Amino acid sequence: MDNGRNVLITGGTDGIGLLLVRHYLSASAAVVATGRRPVDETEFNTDNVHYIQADQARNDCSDNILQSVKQLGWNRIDNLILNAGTGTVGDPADESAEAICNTISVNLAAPITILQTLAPLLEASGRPGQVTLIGSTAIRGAAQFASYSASKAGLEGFARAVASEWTGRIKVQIIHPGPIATRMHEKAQLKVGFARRFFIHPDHATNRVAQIIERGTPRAFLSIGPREIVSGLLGRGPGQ
Amino acid sequence: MKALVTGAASGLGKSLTMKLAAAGFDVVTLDRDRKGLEQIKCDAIHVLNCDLADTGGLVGRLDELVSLGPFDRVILNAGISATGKFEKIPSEVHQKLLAVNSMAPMILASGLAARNAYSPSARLVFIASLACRTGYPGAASYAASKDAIAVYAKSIDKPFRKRGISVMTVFPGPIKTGHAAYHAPPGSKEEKRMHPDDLAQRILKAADSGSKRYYPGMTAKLSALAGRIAPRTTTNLMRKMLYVKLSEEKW
Repeated sequence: MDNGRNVLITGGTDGIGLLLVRHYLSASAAVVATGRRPVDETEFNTDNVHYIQADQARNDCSDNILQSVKQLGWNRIDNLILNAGTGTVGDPADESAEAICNTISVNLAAPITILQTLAPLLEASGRPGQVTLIGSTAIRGAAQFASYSASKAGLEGFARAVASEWTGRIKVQIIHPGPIATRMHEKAQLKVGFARRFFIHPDHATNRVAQIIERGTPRAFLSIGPREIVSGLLGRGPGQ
Repeated sequence: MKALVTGAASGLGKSLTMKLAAAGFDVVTLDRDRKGLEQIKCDAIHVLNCDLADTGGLVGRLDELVSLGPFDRVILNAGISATGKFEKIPSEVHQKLLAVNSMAPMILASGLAARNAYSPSARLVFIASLACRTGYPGAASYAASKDAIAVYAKSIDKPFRKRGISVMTVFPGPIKTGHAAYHAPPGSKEEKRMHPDDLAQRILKAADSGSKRYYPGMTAKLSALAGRIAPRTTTNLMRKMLYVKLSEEKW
């Protein structure tokens, strides 16, 4: 990766988002991370990462991000990684309207609005700018995460349309990761138990995602492969 | 037998409502269009004026809906569109579209299940779009909303079947309605679109037979196949046929 790149990652306080922040920092990129928590509850109280507290459940989220980015003096974004997401687990008949609306707002409506708001900065990149949407292998349908799978499928349909609309202007990419051994599942109150040893190791997932971003493949899946199966069977835990 | 149809004041929803009423169903209808509802109101058709963009308001109407059930057919048909360049359509329009096309049907499907408002062996029908298979440059948020609802339907299939509810998703191509004509590129031919009465007939028949996914008509079936075999070529074709011909943003 070349130096001097401006990278913005949403949901950068945890999980794969945090690992991507670290990855781009070590590659000497200028990095902005967004997250729901106040800055003093993150590890970003240093000078190297610019942190924007932006809750994707709120209407002012995208304007908030744009203003903060402009205050930093950024007039372009080279890589926009829309990674932030939320979700609940359970019987779809028990899912409250509030939970449904929150999942669709945070995982689908917010990324769409953020991309629309930041599109001029991506276009100013000239490399050309690239947006990466983080979907999920749940787009194949998932009984226990109905609204979550719907929100990620929505991103898929959106990416497909907008990639075509922006041909030659902004690169649009969507990556669908399978289960990664991050804190995501416990945050969603999902007990994965034994299955977790077959999950993709977070470091491995980060490297793969970063590679796919560099290649700019329009659509990619990051599924459990032979590495995870062998590691899981040998009882070594997630894809070591 | 009772049915619930959303977006019943015009287009496909109206055709579905009329066919259901003619087949002996008591139909409960939801729409934001008060005047349109007044026109279809009769003994067999109960009308409720409700704007599905207001998800909070919809939740407040759930108990009323439940008291009008239980339903043998629930058809979540209501939908809006926004066409043109994604970045030029106001953000509020994209948000509203997701509320009406994605959030509202999910709230209704799950809310009715949680309140036991489906009859035993009920059919729950989601109206998605052929765009789920072809891609839809020129209607990015619409495409998002329909992909979301199609995969939601797929996800709830098993858990709902355990409750006796079978779920069907319909992927219609262009329909001969005022809505479609308004969003089509200038100069596009209307004859190729399916008449809403014809489509309604086919959908009700497919629902009776217990289909899970239904592509109405040969054109829809072939387009879905093309989208599966050559997704990128199909989306490129959609771009050429639709996106580049759209002269202005409409919602």
